[in-house]
Amino acid sequence: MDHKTVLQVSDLRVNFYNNERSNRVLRGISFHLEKGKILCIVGESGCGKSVTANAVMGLLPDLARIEEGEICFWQEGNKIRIDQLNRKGKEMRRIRGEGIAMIFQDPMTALNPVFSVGYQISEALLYHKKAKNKKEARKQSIELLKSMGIPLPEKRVDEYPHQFSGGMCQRAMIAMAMSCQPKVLIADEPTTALDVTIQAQIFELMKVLKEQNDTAIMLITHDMGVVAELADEVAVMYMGNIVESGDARQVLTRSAHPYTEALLKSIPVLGRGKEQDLQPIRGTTPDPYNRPPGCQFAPRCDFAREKCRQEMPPEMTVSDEHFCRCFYPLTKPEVEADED
Amino acid sequence: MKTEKEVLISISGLKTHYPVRQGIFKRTVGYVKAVDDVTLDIYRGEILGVVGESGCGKTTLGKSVLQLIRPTGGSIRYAFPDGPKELIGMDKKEMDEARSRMQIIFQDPYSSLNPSFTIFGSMQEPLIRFGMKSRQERKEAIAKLLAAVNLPAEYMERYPNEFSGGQRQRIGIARALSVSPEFIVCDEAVSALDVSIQAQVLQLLKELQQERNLTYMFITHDLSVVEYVSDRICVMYLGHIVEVADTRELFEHTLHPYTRALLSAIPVADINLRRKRIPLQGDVPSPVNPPDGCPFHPRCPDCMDVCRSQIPQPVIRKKDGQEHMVCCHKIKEENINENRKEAQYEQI
Repeated sequence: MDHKTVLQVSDLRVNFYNNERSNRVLRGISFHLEKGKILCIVGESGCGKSVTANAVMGLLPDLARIEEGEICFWQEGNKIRIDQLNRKGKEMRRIRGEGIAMIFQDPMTALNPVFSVGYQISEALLYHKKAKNKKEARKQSIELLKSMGIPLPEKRVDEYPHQFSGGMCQRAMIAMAMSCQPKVLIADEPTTALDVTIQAQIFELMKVLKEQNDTAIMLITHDMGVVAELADEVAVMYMGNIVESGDARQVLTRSAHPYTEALLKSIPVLGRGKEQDLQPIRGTTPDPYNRPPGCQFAPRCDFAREKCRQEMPPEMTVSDEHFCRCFYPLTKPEVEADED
Repeated sequence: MKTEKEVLISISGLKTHYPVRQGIFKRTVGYVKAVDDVTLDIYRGEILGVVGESGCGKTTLGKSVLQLIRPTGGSIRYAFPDGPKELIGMDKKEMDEARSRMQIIFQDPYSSLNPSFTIFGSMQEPLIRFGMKSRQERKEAIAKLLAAVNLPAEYMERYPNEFSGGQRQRIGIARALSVSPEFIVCDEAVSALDVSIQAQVLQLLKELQQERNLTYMFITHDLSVVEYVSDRICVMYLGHIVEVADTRELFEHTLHPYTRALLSAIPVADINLRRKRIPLQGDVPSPVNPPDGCPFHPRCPDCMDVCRSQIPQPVIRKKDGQEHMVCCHKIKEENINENRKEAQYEQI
């Protein structure tokens, strides 16, 4: 494994158990995250994006179980198997925040309303011994808030989350996540609850973090626009599988999987005007308790053949660093990538 | 293109303020000016997109037009067959009659249907209200409506929890159509849906509009959707309309700095179109204490002295008979020459 990889997930399978039924939420996903790169995971609701993130953070609910696969995290040259750690154990706690940090979807509910923002940031600093005492932690918190572009950080540090606007809460969350300079930042739909102008500010901030601190960012989103703007690499998920992954430009311009292609064709793109031809994907996502036997997308796919309905396609290489799970990829594997 | 445009709803000087109450006596300490001095014409058969950030008053504007929220002042005149009539202060009977012409589709398909009613139960109410007495007749009418939104007729015996979000939104659309309205307010009608479903619903809305010659007021925060759907776009900021123009005109010759920033902030789902952004500083100010002068001036990249003190008056530019309204001190009134492509800025 080359030294650039900081997080490696291979063949991860997670099941949720409830009401004597099991939902195979993740059905064998593999990806890796490199230093200073943004990996975007896209997919519709219920496809397992957030479960992936929570599995990496060791935050899966009690009803969930990792059945198979490994999650490896490299810290100072040591390989740590996150999936084998006790979720509430000392080691996991040490990794959370210091090694991997996470930003949640709704900034207003992710912050604790009864503690001041400064307190919540210094908590992380003190726990990971990044600050000797409270005074120093407070000073660092102010620094962090300032670097996140919050005006009047000296005053804001003592305020409570309800006094912050949505965008500022999200900045405070990012400040908290970045407080211990983690190697990996997981952002689970960080801007879905925010307005577009604020979203743009947050993305600028994330780009700066990526470049200055060499942080590996795993960004979970459902918005293809965000992917096109930010991603270096993309993984498209559908019903618990990564159906296509690879370099962002490759995946978006030369999509191999029919789902990626259909997804791109079904969204209005700004600047293409009224005449653009939207092609909705027919049908709906299948019930997770009653999945189709073969390729999960087969019932909605225009190119599905008998084989697709019978068995799950394996991961195939389309070109260098571009994989897809389809028997009949739209981009033929033998065609060499000859862009520009 | 349409040559003769008939005004369906004429809004002028509309104000909707919410009182802010505080203390044990619930004294009114101020007002949230959710919609402040909005003047707008809605033409028959058009899709008017209303965009803006959260809290800018888009939804309040839509609901005020339908009289679901009582406006504080101004006038809304609706063109009934026997001439335009004022909606504000209309008596209840007449208002009921007017409601059969105006309907709304709500944002959240999960909470806009009563969970203890079957779809038939939810959908028959407007039909009963507007005089369809026989149950058999209502059933037929509902089956027809469900067919119009591509749902099988058997679904009317089911409960809302049995449907997915996209299906519920279709039911919401069918219910709005049940009284054969002329005007529908779509309040973030596709925002809660998944991308693959969103396109289905958008196409359905477009088809219905063409079939039935409906007029939509399409409220959304998503400019890509609005560009795809609407004929004309109205951009709101902090309770004020800052720019109104035809969709293409607005996107090609953006005049207001806010619209420009908004457009540049949108992530475009085309990797070949990564552009330079115009980052906006700060947040939307509180509508309780809006800034003096132009509401946008604290975040405006080219703010001038006059912006801080005076509210800009709407300036209308005409081009090919299309009006382009903008509220900005930098834009001077003039008729743009057809050949002149670039948006003109007054040099200072």
